[in-house]
Amino acid sequence: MDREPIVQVKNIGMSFGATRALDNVDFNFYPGELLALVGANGAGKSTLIKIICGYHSGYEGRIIVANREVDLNSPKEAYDFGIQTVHQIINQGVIQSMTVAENLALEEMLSPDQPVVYNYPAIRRRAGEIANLMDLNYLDLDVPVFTIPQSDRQMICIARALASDPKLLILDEPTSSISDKEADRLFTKLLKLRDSGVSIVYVSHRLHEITRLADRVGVLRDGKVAGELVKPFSVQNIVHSMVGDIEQNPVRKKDSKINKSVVKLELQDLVFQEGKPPLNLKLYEGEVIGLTGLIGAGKSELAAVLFGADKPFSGRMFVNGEFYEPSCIRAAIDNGIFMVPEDRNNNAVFPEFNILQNINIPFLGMFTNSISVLSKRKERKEAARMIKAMTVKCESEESPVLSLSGGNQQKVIVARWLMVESNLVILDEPFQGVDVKSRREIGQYLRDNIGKSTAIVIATDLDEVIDISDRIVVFNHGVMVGEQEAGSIDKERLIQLTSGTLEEILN
Amino acid sequence: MKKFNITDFSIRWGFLIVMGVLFTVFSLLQPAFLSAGNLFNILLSVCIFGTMALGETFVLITDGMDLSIGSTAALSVMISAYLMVVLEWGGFATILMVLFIGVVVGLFIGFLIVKVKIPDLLATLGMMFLVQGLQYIPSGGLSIGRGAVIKNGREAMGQFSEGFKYLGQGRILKVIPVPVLIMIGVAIIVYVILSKTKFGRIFYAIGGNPEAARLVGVNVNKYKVIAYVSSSFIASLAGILLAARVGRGDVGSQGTLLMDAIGAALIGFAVLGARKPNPFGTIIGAIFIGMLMNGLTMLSMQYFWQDFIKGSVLVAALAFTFGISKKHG
Amino acid sequence: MKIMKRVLVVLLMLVVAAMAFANGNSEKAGMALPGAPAPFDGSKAVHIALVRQMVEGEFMQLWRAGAQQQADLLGVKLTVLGKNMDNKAEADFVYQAISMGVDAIIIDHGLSETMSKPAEDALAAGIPVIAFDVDLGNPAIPQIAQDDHALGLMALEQMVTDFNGKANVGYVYVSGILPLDKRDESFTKIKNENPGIVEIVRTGTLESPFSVKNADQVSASLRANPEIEAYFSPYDEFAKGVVMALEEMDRKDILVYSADISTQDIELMTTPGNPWRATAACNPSAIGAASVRGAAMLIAGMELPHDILIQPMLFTNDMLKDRNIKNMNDLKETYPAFNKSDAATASWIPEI
Repeated sequence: MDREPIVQVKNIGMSFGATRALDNVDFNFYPGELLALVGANGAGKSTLIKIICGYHSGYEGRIIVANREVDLNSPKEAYDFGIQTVHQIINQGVIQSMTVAENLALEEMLSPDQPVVYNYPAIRRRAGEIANLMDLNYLDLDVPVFTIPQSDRQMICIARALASDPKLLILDEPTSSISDKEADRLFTKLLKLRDSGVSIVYVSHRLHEITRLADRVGVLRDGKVAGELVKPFSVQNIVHSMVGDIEQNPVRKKDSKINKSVVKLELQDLVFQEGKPPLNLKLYEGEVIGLTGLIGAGKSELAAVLFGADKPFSGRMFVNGEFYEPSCIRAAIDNGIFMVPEDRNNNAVFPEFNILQNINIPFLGMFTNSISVLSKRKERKEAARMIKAMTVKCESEESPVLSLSGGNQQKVIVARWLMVESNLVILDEPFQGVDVKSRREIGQYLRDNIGKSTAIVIATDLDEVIDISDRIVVFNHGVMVGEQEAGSIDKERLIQLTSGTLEEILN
Repeated sequence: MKKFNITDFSIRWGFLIVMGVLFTVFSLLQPAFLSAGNLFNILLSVCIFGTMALGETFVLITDGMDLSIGSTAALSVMISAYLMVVLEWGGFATILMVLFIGVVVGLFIGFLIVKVKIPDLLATLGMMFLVQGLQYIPSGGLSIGRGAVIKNGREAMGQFSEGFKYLGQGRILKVIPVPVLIMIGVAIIVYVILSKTKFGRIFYAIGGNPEAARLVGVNVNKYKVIAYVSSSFIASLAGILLAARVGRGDVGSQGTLLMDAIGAALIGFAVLGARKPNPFGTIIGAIFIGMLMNGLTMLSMQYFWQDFIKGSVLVAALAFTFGISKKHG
Repeated sequence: MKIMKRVLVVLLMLVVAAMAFANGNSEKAGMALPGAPAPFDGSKAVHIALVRQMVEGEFMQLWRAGAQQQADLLGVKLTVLGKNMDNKAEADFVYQAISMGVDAIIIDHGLSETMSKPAEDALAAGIPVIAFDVDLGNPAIPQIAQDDHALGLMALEQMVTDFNGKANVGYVYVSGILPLDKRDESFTKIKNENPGIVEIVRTGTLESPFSVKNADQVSASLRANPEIEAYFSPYDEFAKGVVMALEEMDRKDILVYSADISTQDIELMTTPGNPWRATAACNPSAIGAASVRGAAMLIAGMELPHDILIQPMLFTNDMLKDRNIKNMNDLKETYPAFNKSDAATASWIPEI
């Protein structure tokens, strides 16, 4: 690299409370180069990006743009230095009800220099120019954005970013919600852009994309630079530097509680996403399954079908050998299929309720007399039992749930579903926003009390599933691509299974 | 033993203390205020919108708002009069029919919100106008009383049955007004349902986090419809009391019922620091409004001043609930 | 905490305001009237409640002013209880007045069905009741009313004079409303006495707004019956509609005779070229004053006739123009007799 870097970050550090998110990170970003940034969840990728695009002020270290040291305190400042970012969630970047033209020329449209009377033809002209930057001329400028495919929306965001002639373009997981075909189109454009001299930072979990696109790979691990790889690189060596040498194949003995003679849940040729191959899977009594895969791999979709929230496209399900076809969530619950949903705050916690009310809500019928009046005594007794069993730290069972820490709130939500006997408990990302101690305690309780039931723990984070599972099942693009038993876990293989393309894995 | 905290104390008891102070002040300034007869007058003056407010509480709990209850009550008045005076129905059949129509109105609102997916406020606003117009249709826009000439030119010869009027004008032991007893009965039933049964718990769960409620197996739509049906049903019951009170099909009888009912329920948020809709608070809110109006009237304050003060109290109660209570939650 | 304090301060201020208002209206204890029976001899402060169905509008305001004036002359405390067009509240107010322990209750307008029971309860509590323009159907309750027969007759007699007993008349009338029915009886009487007075056409509606809807009907019927020379519309809101129609059709030669009067009516009548010829009316203030006198007489234990009629006066557009009368105040000042009513009077009651 004999060229001058367009942006340099030097000795970048950042702490959130006691957590050291980034420590002494250096990177150079060169014009005409595509740098891929990889790392496990929590390695510090998003923190670094947010610093570079001005969201986090109060970082340590220096940022140098075009040989000038700058102080980035707001996205607007980063923007003025020619740093443009396209964020992961596409629909936060477009205004769905507005037309393609308006979205493309959003900046012009919202600029204070606009005449008072809205001049759509002028906006449309400008939008046409911007569309040209990404060869988007095939788009109908006058239709609302919600009518066009995700990839085109993504393209609109990128085109808009390019309109300001950026020096550095950051793309955060741009393919997480678009199809492979759409991704291919995006890659062609990105390589063209790189060749035109733009510096691109590409963040992705999908390692095969990176091997195709990147000129250089920067690896973050635990907030530090774990290595920089240059061509040629393979998925293998990227994974190796992500995982590191120390943390290999953790050992967890297989649990003896599993009773292979009893099949609790059986999926026969189940198609739960359109156009995907059928899934066959058996869950045994006393077993905890870890279900992992990247965002969009189909984990939550399977959970929704099991929990009666969605209907399968075809195939059959059996619970305890009996045909199972839930018509709604209540039907699933009545069949002993429970779910701790992901995103505790939005999907599980009743903020105005106390702990007791949060625990007891799904099974109020247990506490009522013949005219549906609740017995406070019975409610207290059950809630107190669960609080004790799950080691929830609280003043009393009638303290507000919001007075608890995140980990203890999660224990309350898990307690809600472990209070009565079940056939299957699904825990969707149960450890998000949960401290390590609580995570261990929840996992331990689940393992100790699985009894005659069975559990599916869904987590993107490999360490979380390795920690808790008797068996790990990996999904990739809606296909079950592999499984590993506790005791013979190969973490590198797991990363390949989650991050590779289907062709690579299946052939 | 927890440490005494003045802020927590005032959040919990502040409203009732203010109410007590006002009560004392009114009693001192106007001794007649304190007579048993007058205290029943206060209850009598609030029992119709107080009953409606209890119905509204169901909807408020599920994080909705029913703006149509005033019209629904007025519709009940006109239907009652039409059935008894024009069609010469008996009182009992009239009551059943009016309550049935209340349920139908609630089901229709529920349908608009749950199936057609119109936001609560807009659906009930639309229904407010619709029902407001509907109530005039049978009588062609005229009040219905004995001897009134209805559209077809015939004189209406029926009349309000004595039993029906007793619901609005009767007094038990010559002191306790019947409609007040009805309001108290409704209040007890609503209190038990909302605070003591699993249904109440589920209503509150839906209001607190509808998605979480769905994911614990609650049929959220069903409960929303039940909330609107309850609200319309109770509003039509209040309409029966109003009809019995007024004694004829009086056009435009809804007056300020809707706003008083919603005001009472909102003031109820501040009672005992509940910070959420609750039947006990609603009744206290209604009585507070009635007490304030009664006391200020006795002190010869003009009606517009009374409205001004009523509004100020509502704003203060809401500021109290949402402004400070939240921060100290 | 700070907000909390402020909230309390605001509430306290409201309480203080309430007290201030109360003091502003505090009663003057027992003014003695010469030769008056108890309790007007100064033995006890007298308190009368005025319970109203309507509080807005010129008529209602003048009514109240007259009542207040008479009450002041009597040294009586008058408490007005009323919320505009809220019939349930009106009933509540009667009970409130009973609790307040007033000495008499005046019920001003209202629905018979709604007010009969509260009025009965007031009587049962030993409080005399007098009613204006609402039939409470109770022999113990004197009923004050405008003399509607006289209202109709006075306007019609002016018409007979103006047309020498011969006129083609258009008529605006809606049946079923007691005052209008009485005025209609007067019209029948006049027609019988004067064969030359012929009713050509009859219209009338209570659709709101009265004036506009009636104007539509009048202009339609005028097209069909151009021979009409005069209009009798015994209610001023109807008359406004007639005038509106006549102006639109440029038929200001037709003269209009009506009942009731307001400032707006005066403005119309005094506009040059306006066809509104005459109206017969009672002074709302005089009615208010008579009501208070009636209540006072009941308190003093005096007998009152069951029906008390307030006599109207006739005003022609010439009278109003000649004396340069612009509004109700001018009218009251110019015609002192208009302010007085000999209904419910007694020697010991000071006259307005």
